[in-house]
Amino acid sequence: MSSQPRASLVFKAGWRHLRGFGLQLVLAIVGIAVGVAVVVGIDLTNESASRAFAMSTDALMGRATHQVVGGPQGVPESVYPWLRVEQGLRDAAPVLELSVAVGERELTLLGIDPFAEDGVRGSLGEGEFDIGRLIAQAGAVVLPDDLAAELEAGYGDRLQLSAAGAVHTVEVVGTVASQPGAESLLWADIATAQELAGRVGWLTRIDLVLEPDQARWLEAELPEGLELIDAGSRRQSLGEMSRAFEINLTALSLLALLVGLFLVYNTMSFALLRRRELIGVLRALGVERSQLLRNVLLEALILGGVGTLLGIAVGIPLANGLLQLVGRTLSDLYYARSIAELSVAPLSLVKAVALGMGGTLLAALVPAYAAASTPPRQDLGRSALERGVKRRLGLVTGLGAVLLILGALLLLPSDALWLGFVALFAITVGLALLVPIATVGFMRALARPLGRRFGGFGRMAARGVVAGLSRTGVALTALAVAVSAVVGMGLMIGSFRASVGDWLGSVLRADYYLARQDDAPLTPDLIDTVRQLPGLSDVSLSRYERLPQEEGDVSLWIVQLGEEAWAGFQFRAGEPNAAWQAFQNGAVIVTEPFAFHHALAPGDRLSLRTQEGVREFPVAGVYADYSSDRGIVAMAESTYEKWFGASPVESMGLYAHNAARLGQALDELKAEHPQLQIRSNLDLRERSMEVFDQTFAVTDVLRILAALVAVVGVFSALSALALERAREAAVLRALGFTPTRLAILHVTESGLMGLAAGLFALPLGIVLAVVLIEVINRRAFGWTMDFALLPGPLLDGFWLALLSALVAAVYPAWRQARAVPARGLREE
Amino acid sequence: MRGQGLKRIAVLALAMALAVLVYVLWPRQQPQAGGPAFEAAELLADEEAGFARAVEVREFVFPADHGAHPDYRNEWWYFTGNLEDAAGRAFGFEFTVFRFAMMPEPIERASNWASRQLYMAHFAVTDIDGERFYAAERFARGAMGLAGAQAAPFKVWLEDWQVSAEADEAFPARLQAATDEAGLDLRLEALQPPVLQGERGLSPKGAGPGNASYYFSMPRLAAAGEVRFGGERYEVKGQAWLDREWGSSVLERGQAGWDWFSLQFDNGAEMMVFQLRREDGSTDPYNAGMWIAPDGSTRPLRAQEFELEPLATWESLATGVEYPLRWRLRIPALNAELTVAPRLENQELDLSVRYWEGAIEVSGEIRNENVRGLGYMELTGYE
Repeated sequence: MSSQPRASLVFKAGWRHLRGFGLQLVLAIVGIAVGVAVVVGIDLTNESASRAFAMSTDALMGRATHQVVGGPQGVPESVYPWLRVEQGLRDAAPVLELSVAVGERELTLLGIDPFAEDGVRGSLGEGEFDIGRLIAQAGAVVLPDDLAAELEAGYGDRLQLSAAGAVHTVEVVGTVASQPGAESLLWADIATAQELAGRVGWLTRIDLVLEPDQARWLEAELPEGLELIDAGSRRQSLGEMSRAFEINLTALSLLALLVGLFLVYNTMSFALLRRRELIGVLRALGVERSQLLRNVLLEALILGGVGTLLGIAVGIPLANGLLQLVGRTLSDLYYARSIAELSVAPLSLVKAVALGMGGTLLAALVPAYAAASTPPRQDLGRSALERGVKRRLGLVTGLGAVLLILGALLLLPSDALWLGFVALFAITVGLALLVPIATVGFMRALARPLGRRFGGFGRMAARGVVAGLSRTGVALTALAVAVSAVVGMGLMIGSFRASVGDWLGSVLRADYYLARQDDAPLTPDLIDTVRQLPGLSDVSLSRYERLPQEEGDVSLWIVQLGEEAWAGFQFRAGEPNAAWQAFQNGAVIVTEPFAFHHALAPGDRLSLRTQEGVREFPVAGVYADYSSDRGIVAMAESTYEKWFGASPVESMGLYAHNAARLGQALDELKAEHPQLQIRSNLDLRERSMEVFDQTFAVTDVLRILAALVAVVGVFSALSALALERAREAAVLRALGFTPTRLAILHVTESGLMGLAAGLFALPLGIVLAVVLIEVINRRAFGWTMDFALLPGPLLDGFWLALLSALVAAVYPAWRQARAVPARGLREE
Repeated sequence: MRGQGLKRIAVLALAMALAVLVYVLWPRQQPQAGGPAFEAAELLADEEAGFARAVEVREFVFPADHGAHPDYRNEWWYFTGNLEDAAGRAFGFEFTVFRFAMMPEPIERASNWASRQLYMAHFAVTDIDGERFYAAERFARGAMGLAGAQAAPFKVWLEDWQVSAEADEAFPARLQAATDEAGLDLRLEALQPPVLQGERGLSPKGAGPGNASYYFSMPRLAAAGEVRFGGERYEVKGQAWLDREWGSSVLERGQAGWDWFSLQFDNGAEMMVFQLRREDGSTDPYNAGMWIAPDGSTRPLRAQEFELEPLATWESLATGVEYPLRWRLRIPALNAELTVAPRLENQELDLSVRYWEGAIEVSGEIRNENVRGLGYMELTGYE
């Protein structure tokens, strides 16, 4: 016998088999595809987000190696001709950056010198615009194509642009090709930008391309109050901002990968289980082991290939959808304004192929090897297989325990985020491996009460689950892991939300908050008017400012606070009363993330570049704040004035002794000054929570996806199980079970599985949440939050597990109940 | 053979996966940033309405007229010259500052950056013996000290490229222009007073009223200083020519470009001629020139008094444009027949405006006397 016909026979047998079970085939492919799709989706989203981020950094900074920055006011414009004409540094481009809005659309206006762009940023790129009018005409702007289309504005059209607290009419004098990452930028000449911003005489910064020796020279020569900062480190710190966000998504994608691998393993072991008799026969016919192994693996490769292709096909649009959600989060939180374009990174797809094909192969390897190495004919008895599984149960349990301990050890104090992830992964896998043994225990414990309540039928259901462990174990584990991810994320977000809510309740003490809609400073007259309002007991004044520093911008919160407002701060470190004294006398307090990122504790000193050069400020305390993951430095207004000059007020907190009267007076004030935005405490709190929820919208979607993966997994496992047990069912029918009773038995069985998965998912989910809260978030962002054991996510997870198991059981049960017993008995 | 079929399916599946990968990974065109997003020609294509126009003969006043005339739409300071080092190595140079007014009226705006004046500068050096030619350009606004022109003390500059008076008088002046690749640092001394071109300085370019410019030349400036190519420095001496022109008109319909010649003869005479090339090839009635005899006396040359005949062309390797580089110039009234030839063929400036401007040599007869000389030629509008 040559090997050729044998190979043909094995293939034919395998192919026929797969064809004969179309549903199984579809489920196998769907299982792989869903796993791949989720990984691809998240990965591409991550890639696109970071690429968009890098590109908008590029659009803003171009080739610049250095930047000249100044104090809060910026850089005096005279520095530019000094650099360019007198010092002959021609790779220098001035910029005045300005937040503006056209209608509801928030944009960044870059005031540039179009002639200086070439060597440095090349901002305007390709396009057609009237350079003469851009420079000479007041209020001339250039739009990127996409934005022009969005605003339906073309050459010569006028736009109403709000900037620095006033509405200006500007004219479009040209459009340029949209550059990725610069979708929300528009350009004007420096002159127009200065006039719109009301900042005549000032630049935000000057970008430079310098050789190292030029940089050293310039550093020494720069006028007092200005600093040369390295664009590389600045770029890096901008990148770090987005990295923190990516980390959260990566965690989710790793989880999806894990569930996907479970699914693939599940699918493949089923496909082989179904065929154990066939394999036994083939072995008996003289088919060699290696031949069998090769063919099974080839089969897995085909399944994996088709599943991967489908997964990629679904993953790309999925990524597109996720990107919209992420984009909003990024533009809410960070500097990158929008992510319009999905970029399909080659590496993501390589990863997907590796996962889909490699994972399938790997997952198939264990069952394939087991199948191939059984002696001929022995395979025909299923009980042997189940016995084998029980032997392996010990091994799996042992491995799970080891991983769990390892994971727990890895949680030892450290700041390394990746170690946290390794620990998270190890703990998840470890706990997942404990699910089968727990199932056995659970079902044994359940068999007795079920038997008492439902007689032999109940016992049968419980024991059926244990008896079918070779198939149920994996499905159960997959379900439990997926559900635990849902529970863990839910608990983490819930705890986060509770902490934020708590914090908002504590920090938002004032009855009303007042600011201009465009965040422009409030005029002294207006502040005086507000101070005179009836019903008012106290005010706090504040303003946010971005202070450019070598390591990236520092958000400075300049405040003039009363004791009541101070009482709202939740100190994580430092003694509040002492901190209050120090704060009044020139110290700063910093938020928790800021302290974390800059390794600061009370008693340390923080260097900030002031109007008079770099000064050190004592840190008096660390307080809770969830409004920025990069952190904020709070400084008393008196301190700011001393080192940075006068600080305009942008928002006021109003404390009432008679809230009703104050509210009425504010209504009248608002009628008089329509540009004012007055928010009640409750209103602001609600809006803050809205922003929070929006930020986590993407995680919600991912939770739903994880749940979907779980349902598909369980459905695939159960329908395989049902096919598998056709003969058993036929026997039961022949013994007198009615079809209805049989269906109930199977639904009960899967219900029990769901129950078990749901129950196991809860502790697993809680552990995940604790690791996410205590380790991952703290190491990534420096936020501490209180773990809240919320019933909501726990119940959600439990019901999800139970319902998905029940729903997944309906179709196979229905099919089985309808089957003709005689055909089932004749299976061989 | 069914097993083969299955294998084929496996191969097909892999091929499909590969095809999808290739499709997704295929590099797609990304918009590239870079290059000036405008063309200098656009600077000239604006509406003419409202600008001051060169309509009638005016009084030229110095030093005031060395400075800018901001109400006219365009203006230039055009320095060209031939130089030589002690060893006889020959060089040519061009340094031009152009001014363009974007709006006819002065603008009143809060920002110091606001300006209606744009400046463009071209800087080119020719190493005739080394057969090297280098050209660069710059743009800047006439504000913030970035670029400008002033009469007293005389200074015209774009960033650190500049010509500035040494003292109260416009000349002697120092010309400095440099990039990493080449540099020029010359002291220029006037050997002759300004010569008014056209009709007492009013140089018509077409039939329309105001379709003219005010035009004077400093036909002989002694130049001495340094030329630099990369790191090689040459101490040079030679003679330069300054053309000053301002107006608000551009070429008329039917005019394709112009050919301009400045010639400095060994015997102390100079000559300037230009012809406006018409698209139909005919002689434009506004062609003109000026003969400056060794004693400084001038004689305007009218269109019908001279004839320019191209003898040989040269095709630029860089742009594919063909320029007539050898010419015969006949001026019966002066009994002159001259041949003009480039000192180096490749002196094409492929900048935001593309033209040929380079050092030339001239030889022939004027009034039965053999003459030789050097000069500069400008050829524009060739495509």
